[in-house]
Amino acid sequence: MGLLETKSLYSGYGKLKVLFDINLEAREKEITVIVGPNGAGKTTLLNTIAGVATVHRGKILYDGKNIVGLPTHKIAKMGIAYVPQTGNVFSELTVRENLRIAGYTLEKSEVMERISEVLGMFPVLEKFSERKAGTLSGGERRMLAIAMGLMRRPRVLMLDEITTDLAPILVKRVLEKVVELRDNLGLTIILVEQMAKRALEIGDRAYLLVSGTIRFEGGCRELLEHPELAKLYLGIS
Amino acid sequence: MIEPSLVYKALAYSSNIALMAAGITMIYMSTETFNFAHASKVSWGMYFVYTFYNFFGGHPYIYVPVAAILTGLIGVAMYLTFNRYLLKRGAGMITLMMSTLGADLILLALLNILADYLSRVHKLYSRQIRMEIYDFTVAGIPFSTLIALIIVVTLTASIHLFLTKTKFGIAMRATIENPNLAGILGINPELVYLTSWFIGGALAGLGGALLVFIMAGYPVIGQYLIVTMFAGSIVGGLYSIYGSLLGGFLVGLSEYLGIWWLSTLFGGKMLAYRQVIPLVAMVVALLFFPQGLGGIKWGKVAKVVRGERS
Ligand SMILES: Nc1ncnc2c1ncn2[C@@H]1O[C@H](COP(=O)(O)OP(=O)(O)OP(=O)(O)O)[C@@H](O)[C@H]1O
Ligand SMILES: [Mg+2]
Repeated sequence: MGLLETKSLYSGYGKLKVLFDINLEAREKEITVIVGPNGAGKTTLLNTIAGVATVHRGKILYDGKNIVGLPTHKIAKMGIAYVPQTGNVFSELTVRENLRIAGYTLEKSEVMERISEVLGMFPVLEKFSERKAGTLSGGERRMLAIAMGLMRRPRVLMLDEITTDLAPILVKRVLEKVVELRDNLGLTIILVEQMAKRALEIGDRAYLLVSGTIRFEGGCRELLEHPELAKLYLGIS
Repeated sequence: MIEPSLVYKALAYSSNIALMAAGITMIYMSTETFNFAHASKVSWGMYFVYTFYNFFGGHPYIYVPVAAILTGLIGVAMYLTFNRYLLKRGAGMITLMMSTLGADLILLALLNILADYLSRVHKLYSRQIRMEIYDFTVAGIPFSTLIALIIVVTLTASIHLFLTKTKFGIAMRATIENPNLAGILGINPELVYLTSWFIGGALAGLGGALLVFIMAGYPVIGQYLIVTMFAGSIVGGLYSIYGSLLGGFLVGLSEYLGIWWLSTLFGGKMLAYRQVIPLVAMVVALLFFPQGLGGIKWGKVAKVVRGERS
């Protein structure tokens, strides 16, 4: 049984229907990769789990407990962290304040420790720590968002296109970090990626989302080597 | 010649308006609600001091903090009874604003009931309360002026410390900017809104409670002052607590001194035009600073003043 599962989930924004009959299973200590074309509903799926989209029907089970209808901040406190694709930093706050607030649910001593830890991972942020996040470049902002996601040690970490805007060397480093979080800390990770090939190479299970429905589910290797789907949707030949 | 006592009163008045304007801004920033009920909360602040003093004695100044806390709780009640549900349903600005107008009428009605009760049962002259006689001077300066200025200055400093140094203060700024992301990080946005309504309400009551020592009070005094408070908040730029404190102070000062000046020139009939001054001040300020005083890059201004930039 997965640590996080959705059961016949239908969701969207208000009355707008985006996702249809989604049955997802994110197993403990695995990287679950979600791929699919633009507008397929990948972000909406993560938003739904985090409690910021509207559930029309179905269940979301976390550790066997239905979390549908819980407010976002309660879901966060249960151990589900989320790095959204957009609007993922507070532009009016400094880099340091952003990190501090990302550790809102932690003890003060722990916050300080984690801040130096994540700054160690992205030295650029250290340099800009007193600058407002709104003045950062696209890539720097993305690094800050990732750093904010890593501040807490959640049980489930949902990452939405975190490699966008990053230089190739950083993409590599960030994805290595994701693997490390799974292997060393046993985090359960849901990874939405535009770089489908790279993500599928490090992931365990994969879902292909097309027009709000699941078109494929299975092992990452299986999807990578799929004769039609890989070519059709992932640009892998 | 302008009399010192008039200047003192003008300073006290404008400081109190600054507090009220800051309250409006506080609530608007966090919940996008233009709070018309601020009017009656100011009147309630005045009447809390008056009522408690008549019932329990002591010096009326000791009831000022009590009045602030109670009006803060009125703010909390407003949030919990309707503002919260309207926000959850994604109500627009107009709806939010009109709902507070309704609340204002209820609060005004309750205040009238209190005033009637005080006059019929306790034989108090509660339709026009006068407490200026309880003011006293410290080193020649009226306490009403001194305390109002001290509060405005301490408030400016402490709001700054609160918003930049404390975890909850940073969480408030974060929630105001992006409530969804704040929730994702584990912050309960409702707690932030509730706190804003408390602080906003308390600032209205505090302003009213202090005002009772420099001018006569009556149940609709808040409705009379609301134009000035809103002008202060708007001149301040609506999105800056500091801006609103400065805006409220300047608008209050220009109103108080402006009307004095006009009536010395043209006679007492000018008093009827008193409320025009804050509106004119608002229009003029926005012509020069469309973003309000809070939108001005003060660091740059300082550089220009020091001659570091041309
Ligand atoms: N906040 C919103 N309100 C209304 N509709 C939305 C909202 N966000 C997304 N949508 C719509 O929902 C659909 C799915 O969008 P979503 O962001 O989930 O796609 P995605 O798979 O993440 O795409 P991308 O790869 O471009 O990030 C789109 O048609 C989009 O227009
Ligand atoms: Mg997306």
